[in-house]
Amino acid sequence: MKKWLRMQLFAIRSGMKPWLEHPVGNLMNALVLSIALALPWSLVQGLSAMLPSMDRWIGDPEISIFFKPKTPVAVVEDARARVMRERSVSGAEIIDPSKALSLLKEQSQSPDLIDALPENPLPYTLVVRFRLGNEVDEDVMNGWVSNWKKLQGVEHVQFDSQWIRRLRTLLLSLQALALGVSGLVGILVVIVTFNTVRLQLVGQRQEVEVLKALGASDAEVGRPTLWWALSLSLLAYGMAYLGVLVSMLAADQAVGSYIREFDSHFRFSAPATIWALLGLTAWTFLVMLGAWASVRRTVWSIH
Amino acid sequence: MIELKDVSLRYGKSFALNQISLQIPAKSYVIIEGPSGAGKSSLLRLLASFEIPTKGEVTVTGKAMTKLSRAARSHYRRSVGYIGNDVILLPNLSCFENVALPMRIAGNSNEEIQARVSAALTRVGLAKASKFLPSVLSGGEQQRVAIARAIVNRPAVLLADEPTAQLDGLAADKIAQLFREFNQANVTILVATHDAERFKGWTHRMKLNAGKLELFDAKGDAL
Repeated sequence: MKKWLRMQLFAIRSGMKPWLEHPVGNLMNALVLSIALALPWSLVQGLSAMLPSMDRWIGDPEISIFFKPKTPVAVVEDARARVMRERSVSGAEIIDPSKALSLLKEQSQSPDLIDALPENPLPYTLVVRFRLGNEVDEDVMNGWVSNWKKLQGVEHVQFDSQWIRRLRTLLLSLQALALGVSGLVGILVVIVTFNTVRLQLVGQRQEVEVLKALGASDAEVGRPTLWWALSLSLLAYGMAYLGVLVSMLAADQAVGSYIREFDSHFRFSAPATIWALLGLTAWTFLVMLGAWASVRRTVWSIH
Repeated sequence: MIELKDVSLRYGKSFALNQISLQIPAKSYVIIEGPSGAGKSSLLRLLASFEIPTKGEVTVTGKAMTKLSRAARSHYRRSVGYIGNDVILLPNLSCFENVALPMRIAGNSNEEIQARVSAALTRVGLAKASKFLPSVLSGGEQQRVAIARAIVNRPAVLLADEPTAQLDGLAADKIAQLFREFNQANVTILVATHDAERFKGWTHRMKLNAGKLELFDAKGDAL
């Protein structure tokens, strides 16, 4: 056991030498890897913060039915009764023109202008709510929209949270794209590590030859390089994590306060510890895979 | 005991060694002679397990080279000291660390390394140079450091490929003297050289020509 530990310590010491001999070159290697990781990671992290917020904005799906001006209340009540026959509809509230006008005045920055109107231009509105979750089938909703447009006295029918749903779909697509890019980065990391390790070993060819001549096995010759690759992967991951953290803080300062006006829970935050650790495991696995394959191939070929 | 049975070694289409058979008893001191390209270096590289014979069987200290795995051949090299005609010392390591390399590879303790490396450097007359980098030493001194590195693991067999080729007379004599002392300490020694007269006290003389071998004892009788 002591002998094994001594051999590992010798390998670790030898593996750390490149950091002392070529610190700038090695830091650049780590920087390249960290940038390759940080870019898709920041995108995924940012989108992961925005998507729950989208869900909160969407809330319960609503359809607003606007009637033509001067539509009699009886017609509106008849439309309400027809709408309520749908099993998915949980409620339908009639908003009369005067209530709508006072709501408009509350929200307006120029209430005096509204007071100056000769008469109330707003029609009756029917706000319909559903017994549905957030995953609303848009085709079904559009079916209702087109059916209710045919009701007597109806001017316009609007699916209220449609734009948010479309934005959410866009962000989901972006997230899928970022995950796809992450997969490509994974392949890139294996290739870059393979080549970096190969160049390093070729540069140390004389040392490899001497070690082999003195009785070091292929595994023993390659061990220092694997320790070096491990240190490179940890440093690159640390730098990438720091990069993501800084970008999230910067994004939170730049646009977070604006988004919080609509959603008080919103935060661009650092990756959760569990995800950071899982990422570290996957990242280290990929770097070590590239390094191991390169060591195996290159050391074997040097006589 | 070193034994070769019908051994051939081929590089491409040409034979470096062609159907060689020989037996060298333990503790022998063998001089290998022959013109350039005769196969001297190939024979030593074969015995050091840097090469695998194309045909035949090589046995050194009871180990059949062709039956060893790649990792086992690496381990075998720890029991054989090899000195090449090009002295390859790692330029960024001190003489002490260069000599200590085989022991570090084998996982020896720092105490053992300190004691045995110091003893090996003293044996080759370079105890005071232990902290120097190889670049400040002369060619002869670098060769002696390489010899210290080859003997630090106390090998049963020492293989030297033209160890005095690059050296002046005095430095070459010192190295020849070292080999004689090692042989007197029961180490089997094989030296490939163009300068056989410098090496005194040998027990066997081997002549290689175009991959073929003739072996003589110290009296000059063919074996």
